Amino acid sequence: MRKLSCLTAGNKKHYWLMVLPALFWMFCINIAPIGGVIMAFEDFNPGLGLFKSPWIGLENFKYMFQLKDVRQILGNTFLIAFCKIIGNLIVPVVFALLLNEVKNMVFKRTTQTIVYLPHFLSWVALGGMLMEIFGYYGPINMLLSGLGFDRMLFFQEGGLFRGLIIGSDIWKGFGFNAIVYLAALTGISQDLYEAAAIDGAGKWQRMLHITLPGIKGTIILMTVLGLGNILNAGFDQIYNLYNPAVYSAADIIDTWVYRAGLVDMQFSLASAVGLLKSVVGFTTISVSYLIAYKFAGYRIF
Amino acid sequence: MKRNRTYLARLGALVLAAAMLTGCAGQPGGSTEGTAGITADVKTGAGTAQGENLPVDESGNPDPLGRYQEPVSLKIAQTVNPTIPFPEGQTATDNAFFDYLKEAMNIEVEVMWQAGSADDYNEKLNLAISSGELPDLFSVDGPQLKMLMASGMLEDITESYEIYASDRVKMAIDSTEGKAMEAVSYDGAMMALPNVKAMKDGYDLLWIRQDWLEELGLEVPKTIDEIRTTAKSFIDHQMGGDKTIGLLSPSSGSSLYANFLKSSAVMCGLGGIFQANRAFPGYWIKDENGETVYGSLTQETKETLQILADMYQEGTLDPELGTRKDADEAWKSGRAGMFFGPWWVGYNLKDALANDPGADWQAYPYPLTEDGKWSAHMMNPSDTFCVIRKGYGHPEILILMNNYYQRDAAKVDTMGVDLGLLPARLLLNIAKQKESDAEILKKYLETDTVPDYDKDEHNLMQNDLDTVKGAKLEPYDDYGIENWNIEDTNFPRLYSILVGVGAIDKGYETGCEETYSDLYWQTDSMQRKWSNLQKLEDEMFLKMILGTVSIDEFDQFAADWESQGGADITKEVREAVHK
Repeated sequence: MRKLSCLTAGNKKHYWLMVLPALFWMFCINIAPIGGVIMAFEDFNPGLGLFKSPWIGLENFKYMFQLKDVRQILGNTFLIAFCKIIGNLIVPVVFALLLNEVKNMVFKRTTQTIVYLPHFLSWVALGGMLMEIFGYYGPINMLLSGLGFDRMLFFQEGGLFRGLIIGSDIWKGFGFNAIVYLAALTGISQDLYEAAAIDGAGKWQRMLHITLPGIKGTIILMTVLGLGNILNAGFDQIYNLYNPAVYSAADIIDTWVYRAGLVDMQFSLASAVGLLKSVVGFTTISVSYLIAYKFAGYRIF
Repeated sequence: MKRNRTYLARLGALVLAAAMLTGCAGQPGGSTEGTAGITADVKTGAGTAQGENLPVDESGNPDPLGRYQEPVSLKIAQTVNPTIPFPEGQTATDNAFFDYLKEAMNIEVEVMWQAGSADDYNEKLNLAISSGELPDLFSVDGPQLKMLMASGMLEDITESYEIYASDRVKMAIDSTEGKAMEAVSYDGAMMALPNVKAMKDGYDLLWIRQDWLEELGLEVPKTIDEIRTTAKSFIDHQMGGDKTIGLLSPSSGSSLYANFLKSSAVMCGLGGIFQANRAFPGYWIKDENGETVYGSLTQETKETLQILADMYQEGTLDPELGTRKDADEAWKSGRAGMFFGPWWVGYNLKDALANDPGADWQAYPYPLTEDGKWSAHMMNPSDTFCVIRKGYGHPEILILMNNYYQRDAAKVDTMGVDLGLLPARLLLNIAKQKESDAEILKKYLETDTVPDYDKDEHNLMQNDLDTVKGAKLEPYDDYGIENWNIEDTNFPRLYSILVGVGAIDKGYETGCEETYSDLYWQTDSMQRKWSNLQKLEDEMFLKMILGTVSIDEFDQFAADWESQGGADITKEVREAVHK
């Protein structure tokens, strides 16, 4: 509480100073462009500009809902993002718990360093590697065909591709995501474990009743933060890996808007779909926040 | 908790705003008005150079090959492939071309922005269009031109063209029989300078490893069935190692066949298979009743998709179809036995020969139709355009520069800088020559006397005649790779002509059925609805060939295509054709 009170006390200037760059960044990147949404209600003509283009009301939205695509990309976005959030929650927690049990410090440190390396690779580089590894002539398929199985066309069959997208995202991030949980684990007092051991609690029981409750707050926090990303299913990753054959399984809002706006010059339509994403995103983040507050007592405002 | 608070707030705002990709386009609307007056002045003064800064000859009269009295600044955008080499001390933004423009025309070029590839260029340009911050002079494709013309963002160059265009430039544009002019006209005014490609750039030829055929004792495949058996044989005998590809497919992201907007031959495309079935996907063609229909919806296209799906299933068609990163790499490295490509493949042979000096790539006008004809889709000679931003004071600059480039073609070619970096350079070939380069060269090689030829249409022929005997070795009637001096600097061009263009000539001897698209540009409602239809087509055709969707879905695809705006567009196209 001491920390919080200094925000309301007189000497808070330097805190505001510290947050200023972030606020400035947020204003430029996130607040200022909001005016651009009016493009979604116009037949945007770049020669006339944003304020003089003809106003067509909901025309773009009507056309948007005529397209099968919109349902498809909304579905894909939710599905892929949801699976990623779940995976990015469970895998790092399990990994952190397992690593926490390791007593050999050299092994522990080495493992930890190795598994968080992929986090620092960009999807452009990693995308190329994945295409080699999982491609038709890649080691995985050579092994499968060598053993007499059918090849798995990861980049051509929708379901497999989606699995690859989700799996590789989790693989890339779990080491880094585990850091938070490992830090939380070190915060649990050893006294509790000793006391429990004396009382006859086994390893499993100690984990259930001491470790998990001890990091519960962190897990909930990470989940709620993750839910804010429910509509960001990973543009970088998908853009670098997909092709028209898997549009129906992996085309997400961001990749669609990118193609419509920057490649096909359908500025107004792209803005309309972008606005749809914002509205849906705002709704989901509000709901998830309320749920977190109601069931876990977590609040930020 | 404070850190988390700002983070979450940021995150919330991010979700709110992240998708407003195009939101950055907030452009102050009136930017074009302030400069309109200047343009008007220049126009009225176009005839009388006195007092205006115009390209003039020594006595001060406007001249197609004149020089500006005062320096003119010109902002451009350029595509700079990171791998192209420069002469010592030169860069993309400071090189011999810029010195040449300054000296010859008194133009001071300034690079506004650069892109690393053609795709990047288009994206950056689209962003520039949406924000209204355009370079003074830039090149565009058909849909971009349509958008810019409809938005009134371009300078009218009608008068400049009349006054300044040189005879050579006019001759090239006139050789398209009006097609080039039609593409750049808007409300009767000329809004861009079109390129003119030679029609020969459109033909899909079958390029095949002749040395593999000979090793296996096979004939050149003339039909689709023979291509399938040949491909099978290449793969079974592992001619290119254990990853041998029978018929190669294009790089991912490239179209599978030429379409009415991009009608040049597609490198490693599958157009050859389609047209041998008289299927013309992507083209607006006449049905049996003489009505214009979209070629992708025809029965012939459906049947060809079935053939391609079978080929994919049996492995004779590239197993990495749709996901191939770099098609050129596959044939240059010696893994592929066949692909469809244009006549100029010879220009790219160097890497393939460095890998395997015996790689004997020969071109043929195959496969033929069932009744033995060579069926070919015909391209639109104009698909790239140079335009002047509205409000830029010197609309004639574009024409002046291209006049010079035509006159000084040999000079700029030897400056040592990649020709793609010459600002506003347009290909201005003769669309259809009466006689092909290959025919003239073959006559010369056979008879050893220089035949009569049209020197205006074949402006590079003299050089070809001078050098052909250095690159092509005897016997002159055998074009196998062993009969060439592959070290000769003229080898790529002469090989492309004698083998590539030679194959086109052969196709016409066999009997060529030419199919044109009824339309080569976008109609009004396409601007909004075409890209989604194109996406639907790309996705469904790829899936049908890969077998993830059954060919029976074709009729559903056709119905979807109609209902998602295709029916209206077809109506519009028919009206445009009847006009």
